[in-house]
Formats: sequence, structure tokens, C-alpha cells
Amino acid sequence: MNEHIPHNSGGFDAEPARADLLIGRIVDGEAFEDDWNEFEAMSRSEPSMLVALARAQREHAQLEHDVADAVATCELIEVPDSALHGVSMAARFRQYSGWAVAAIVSLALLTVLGVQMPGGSHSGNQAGLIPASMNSEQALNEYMRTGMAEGRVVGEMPTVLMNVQQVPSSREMQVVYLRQIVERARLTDLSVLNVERDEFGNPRYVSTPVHRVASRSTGLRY
Amino acid sequence: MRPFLQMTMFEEHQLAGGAIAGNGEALQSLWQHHRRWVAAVLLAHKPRDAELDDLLQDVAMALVKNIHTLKDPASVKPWLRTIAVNTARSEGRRKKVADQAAPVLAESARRFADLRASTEAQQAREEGRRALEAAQTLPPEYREPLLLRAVRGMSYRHIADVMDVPMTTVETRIARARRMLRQELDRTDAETETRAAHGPRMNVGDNES
Repeated sequence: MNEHIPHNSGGFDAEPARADLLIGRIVDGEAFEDDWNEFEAMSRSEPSMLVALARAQREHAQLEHDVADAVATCELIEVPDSALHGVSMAARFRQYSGWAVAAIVSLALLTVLGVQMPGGSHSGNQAGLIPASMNSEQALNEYMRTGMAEGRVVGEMPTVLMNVQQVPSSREMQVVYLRQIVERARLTDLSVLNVERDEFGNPRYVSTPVHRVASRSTGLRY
Repeated sequence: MRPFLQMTMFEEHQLAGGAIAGNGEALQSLWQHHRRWVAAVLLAHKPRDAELDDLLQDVAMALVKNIHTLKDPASVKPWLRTIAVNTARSEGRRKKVADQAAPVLAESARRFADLRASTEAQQAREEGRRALEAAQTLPPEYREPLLLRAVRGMSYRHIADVMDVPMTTVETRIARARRMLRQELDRTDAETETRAAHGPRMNVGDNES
């Protein structure tokens, strides 16, 4: 840290002034014996350096206090509990990812081909009839079919694999995956919350119908 | 957990190695050891109205999810910093996209954000965070090392390790940052004095109904 740095008091794109570097090292507890000696020699001929040092120390202490205050709550942020129990989910995923992909492909194929699933049935439906004994897969299929016919269901996003685990005492794998269904709705009474100020200058929430906001500010029509 | 400075480089690497291998307790210790400076990096790069705690939670999640991809335990600090910077920047991009995608809702969101930012700035001043407020106006390449240095126990060497730049670069950036900070504080002081001298401005239209 004691390499020669030329004295320069130019703009921010230039090297910082030697005095600034020395003051920085002293404030940050990074000064060596040579730095102290040089600072003392410089401050004898330029006493304003002592004032600059005092100010730099005060501003650093203030900034240190401000940052400590701002990040104080970070001590409450912990890693998720799932990471603390033995082998991580990520490691498990690496180990079984091949199985998972195969399982997903198989699920997709079985569904497409209408093959009987364990605990399930054919995915085909009888129009207009919802048997009381319908299982979850049948109910979801019926929801998708009816929803699409009504225009409520737009479609389904690609399945997202979340976790794969070996079932204890079994050769089976349990695959947890996310299915995301996209819906559409038409609303007539949609409002947004605006923040306005009352006569005393205090902020308050005001509910405004979207068509008024839209026609006033964006030209959109509903 | 010992304070930042009291852990040797070897111990840090051991901790990172354990976390990479899937040891949950090592991962927890690794996070607790580094989270304070990670928060400072987020503070340097986050949009003004983004919540620090939410972003820090996102970084913790990313750490858990991706630690197995880290090849070298010695590079855990720059790796973690990259996650923090990307998290803060993607929050900025997300807000920008959200604003473009939903102009109607964005208008009220923007108004609320402006109000909140000005309120936060006011609160920061009232709570005595005047130096932090001024530091946040600096360009990011100067703001980050300055805020990292303001985390207790962060030496030039630690900051250089985190930012993956030479120690001399850290030192010169901090020196320039301090000069800019001083000018910014002088400017806000002068503004405050001017306002105090002239009194509150009255808008004639405010009283019209």
C-alpha cells in the first residue's frame, strides 16, 4: 500500500490527491509508519490537512453509523430451513435429475395416450356430465375443457420440476412439479389506488376507476 | 459466529467447501458470515424504493439454489457479490418492465414510489442518515466500495476480494468517493441554508379552490 502515488488534485477521472489517499488510509486504519510520517510532514506546511482529516473521520463515522442502521435487519434474514437438513435439495436434484426428466416425459406420454394411471382413469370426458366419483385428474381435465369452452382458461404453461425424492423403502421416485394454468377475466369494476394529498399535505389513498385513469393519462379504452 | 475479520482465509474456504458439498450447517454459517456486506452491496445497487430485506432474502434463496454450481471455494465472495448485484439490477429491470407493461397501474405505482422515496429520504434525513443519503447519489463504482468500507470490519483487502479488483483500485475509488461525498454534503448543506434563509415557498395556486 505504500507505493508512490503522484500528487495530483485533478478531477475525479484523475488520480486522487496524495493528501486524500493519506487521509483515507488514516481514517480506514490502513496507514503504515511511512504514511503517518508523510502526513505529519505535509500537515506542518499545510495545517488545513488536519481539518480535512477531522472532517473525513467525522463523515466516515456518520456513514458507518448510517449503514449499520440501514442493514441492521439483515441479521434476521436466514437461509431457508430446507437447506439445513442433510444433503441439499440441489444435490438431490443433481442425483435424480435424469429420473425426473424421464418421469415427466412418461407422465406426458401416458396422458397423451390416455393410458390408465395408478389411482386414475382415462383422461377423456363425457360432455356435460360430472360424475360424483370424479378423481382429481378427471376434475382438472373437466375444468380445463369447460374453462376453455367458456373462454376463461387460456392454456397451461410448461410444467416446472420442483423436487425429486426417492420414496423410502421403495424403488419409486416422488416427483413434485408445478402446473400453471393461465386464466382470463373481463371486469367492469376495476379500480386502482392512487396516493393524493389532503388539504394538510398528508398522503391518503383514493380509489379511482381504471377507465377514468386510462382515458385521462394513457388513452386506453375499456 | 465470530465477527468478519476474525475468520481466517482458510476457515472461510473450509466453510465454503462444506456448503458446496451440501452441508446445511456450513451453508448457514457461510450466509451468516457474509450477509452484512452482501446487504451493503445491495444497498449500493438497489433501486431506491426496493426493500433491502426482500432483496437479501432473494440472495439467500439464490445462494441455497446455486451453491452447488460454485467450482472454487476461494471465489465465494466475488460469486456472492455477483448474485447480489444481479439481484439488485434485475429488481430495477423488473420494475422498469412492469412500468412499461402496465401504464395505468404504473402511474399510481410511480406516484406512490415517488412519494415513498421522498418520504424515505426525508425520514433518512430526520433519522440522521444524511451521510448515507448523500452516498447514494454517487456513481455505483464509487458508491459500492464506500458503503462496503462503512461495514465494520471490512478492510481494503476484504473489499478487493469481494469486488475482485486490485487493492489499489479500492483505495483510489474510496478516496474519490469521499471527495464526492464531501461535495454532495456541502451542496445539501448550502441548499438547506438557502431554504432556511428564504422561508417556505408559497404557491399562490394552492389556496384556490
